[in-house]
Amino acid sequence: MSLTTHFKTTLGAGACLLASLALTPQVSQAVPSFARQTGLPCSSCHSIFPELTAFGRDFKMNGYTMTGLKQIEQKSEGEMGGVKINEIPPLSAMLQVSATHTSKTVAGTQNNNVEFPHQFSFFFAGEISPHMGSFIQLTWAQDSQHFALDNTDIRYANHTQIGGADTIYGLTLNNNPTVEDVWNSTPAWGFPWSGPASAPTPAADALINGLGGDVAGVGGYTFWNNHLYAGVSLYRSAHAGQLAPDPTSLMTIDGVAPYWRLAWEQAFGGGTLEVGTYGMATKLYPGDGTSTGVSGPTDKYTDTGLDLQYELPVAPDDLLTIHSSYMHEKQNLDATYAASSSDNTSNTLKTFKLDGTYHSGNDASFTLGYFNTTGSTDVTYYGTTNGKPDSNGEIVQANYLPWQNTKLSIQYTAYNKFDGTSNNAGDNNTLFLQTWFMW
Amino acid sequence: MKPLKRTLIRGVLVSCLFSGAMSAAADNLPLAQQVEQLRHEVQALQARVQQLEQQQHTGAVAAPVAAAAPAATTSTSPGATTAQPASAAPSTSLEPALQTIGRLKEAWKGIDSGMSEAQVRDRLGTPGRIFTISGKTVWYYSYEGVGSGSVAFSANSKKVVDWQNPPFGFW
Repeated sequence: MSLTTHFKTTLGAGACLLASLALTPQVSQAVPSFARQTGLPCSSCHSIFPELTAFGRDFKMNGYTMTGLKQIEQKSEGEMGGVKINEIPPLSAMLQVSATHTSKTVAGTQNNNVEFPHQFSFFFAGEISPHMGSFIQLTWAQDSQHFALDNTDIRYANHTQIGGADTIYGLTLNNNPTVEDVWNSTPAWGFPWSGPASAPTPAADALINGLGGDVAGVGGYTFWNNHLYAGVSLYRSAHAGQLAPDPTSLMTIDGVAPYWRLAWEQAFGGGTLEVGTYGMATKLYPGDGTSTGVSGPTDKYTDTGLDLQYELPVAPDDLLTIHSSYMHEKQNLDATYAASSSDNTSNTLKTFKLDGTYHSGNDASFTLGYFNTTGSTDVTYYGTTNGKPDSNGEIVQANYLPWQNTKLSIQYTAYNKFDGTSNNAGDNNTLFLQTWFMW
Repeated sequence: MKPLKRTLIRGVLVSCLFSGAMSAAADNLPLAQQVEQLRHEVQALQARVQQLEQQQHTGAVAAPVAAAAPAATTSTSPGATTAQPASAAPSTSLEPALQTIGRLKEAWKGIDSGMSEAQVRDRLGTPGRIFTISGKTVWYYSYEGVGSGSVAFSANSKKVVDWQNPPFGFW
C-alpha cells in the first residue's frame, strides 16, 4: 500500500473509525416532523434543505419549540412541573439511495457502486416540553449495517432582555461539534451536505470535522438583538460501542475539549451577512501504539476557524447563498512524535472552502464549490508520497426537488491535487447521483 | 372552551359544592366525615366537568381560529386578519366532528401549486394569521382540536408555491 504510513494507520484509522461511527456527519437533513409541528411548509425554514433561512435559524435557536399542534396539557401552579406535549409524536424518516462512479476504479473494488440505502434514518425531532426540543437522528448505513446515533442536538431555550434588546439564551446537549450551529458555513451543516461514501477522499482534514458521533458535549449559547451570537461547549469522548475508553481506544479526549463560536449577523447590501469564528482545542490520546489509549503523552490540536455566509434575494423567488470557511489547525504531536510516528513535533494544516448556490425558487438549485487543503510536510504522519497533505478541487452540484421533501442530486467532484500531488489526481474524480426522501 | 360554557360549568360546580356542604351540616355529621363526603363530591364533579370538556373539545373542529402561530422574525406582516366565526356548533357526539375534519381534509387536498389567493380563500376561508417569511407571504390556519397548516405564496406571482397540511392524523 502506498499510503500506509503512520497518518493512515494511526490517525487515519482513528478517523475512519470515527467516520464510520459518525455515519458521515456531514450528511444533514430537514425534518418533516418540524413542518407538522409548526404547520409551516419546509420552505419556511429551508431555502433547499438543509440550508436554513433566517426563520429556520430562529426556530433552531428557540429550541425547536414553536408549535401549532394540539397539545396534551396539564398545568401546575408555576411555570414548571406540569406537562405540555404535542399530541402527535415528532417522528420522521429519511432514505437516501446513491450511485457513485470514480474516474479510475479503486483497486480491488467494483466501480459504479450503488448504495441502497446510502443512509436510512429515523428522527425524533420536535418539541419535548415548553422551551425544550430535540433533533435526534438514528441512522442505518450500508457500510455499517446497524442503527447508530447520528447527529443529535437537544436544547433548552428561552428569552430575556439585555440592554433593551431581545436575547435568546439556551443550552445544548449534542454529539458533534458545530451541529449546534445555525449557519451553513461550519462543518456539520456545510456544503456538500451529502457525498459519496465509497469514493476516495483526501486523507487530511481538520480534527473538528471528524469528531461527530464520537463525543458528547454540553454548552450554552446566546443570540443578542438578532445580531450577536456567542456559544461555548465542552466535549468529552463518548465512543460508540464502549462504556468507557480503555487502552484499546483510539482518539480519546484527555479531559474536556472546549468549543467556541462567535458570530455577527446583519442586513448588508440587500441580503443577510454573517461573519464569525469558531474553533476547538483538543488534547487526545492517539492510541494504536502511540499511547495507551487513556494515559501517557497526548497530542494537542487547536482548530481556529473563520466563516462567512451571505444570503441575497436576486429575484422575488430566487436566492443566492455564499458560504466560506477557513480553518487553521495547529498540531502538537508530542505523543505521536515520541512513538516515531511523525517527523515533526508540530504541524499545521489549513483548509479553505467556498461555495455559492443559486436557488431557483424552492425546487431547483445549482452549486459551485471550491476546496483547498495545505499543510506541513510530514511523510511519516500524512503518509502521502511527498509528505504533503495538500488537496484541492471543485465540486459542482445540481438539485431538483419535484416535491419539497424529495431531492434528486447530481454531484461531480474534480481534483486538481490529491494527497500532495497533481499526478493522476483526476483518477479520483467522482460522479455521485442521489435521491433523498424525507417524510 | 367558550367563556359562557366555562362559567356555567363553574356555577354548577360551586352550587353543588354549596348544597353538598349544607346537606352535610344538616345531618350533623362529624367534621372529618363531612370533609370526606365533600371530597368525594368534588371528585365526582371534577370528573363530570372533564367529561364535558372532552365532549366539547372533540366537537369543536371548525373554521380557522387565530391560534398561537409561530412568530416570524424576518418580517411579520402587520396585516394579520381576524378569524372567521366557527362554522360547526359544539357537539357532544363524535360524528359531527369527524364530518368537519373530513370537510377540512377535502378542502386542503384541493390546494395546489399555482393557485391564486382568491382560490385558496374560496377553499380554506380567511386565514387566522398572515405573515411574511423569507420573502413569501404565509397564510396560517389553526383549527382547534386538529392543529395548524399554512399556505405560502410567491412574493412575485402571488401564487401558491408551498403549503403544509394540518396534521389530520388518522382521521
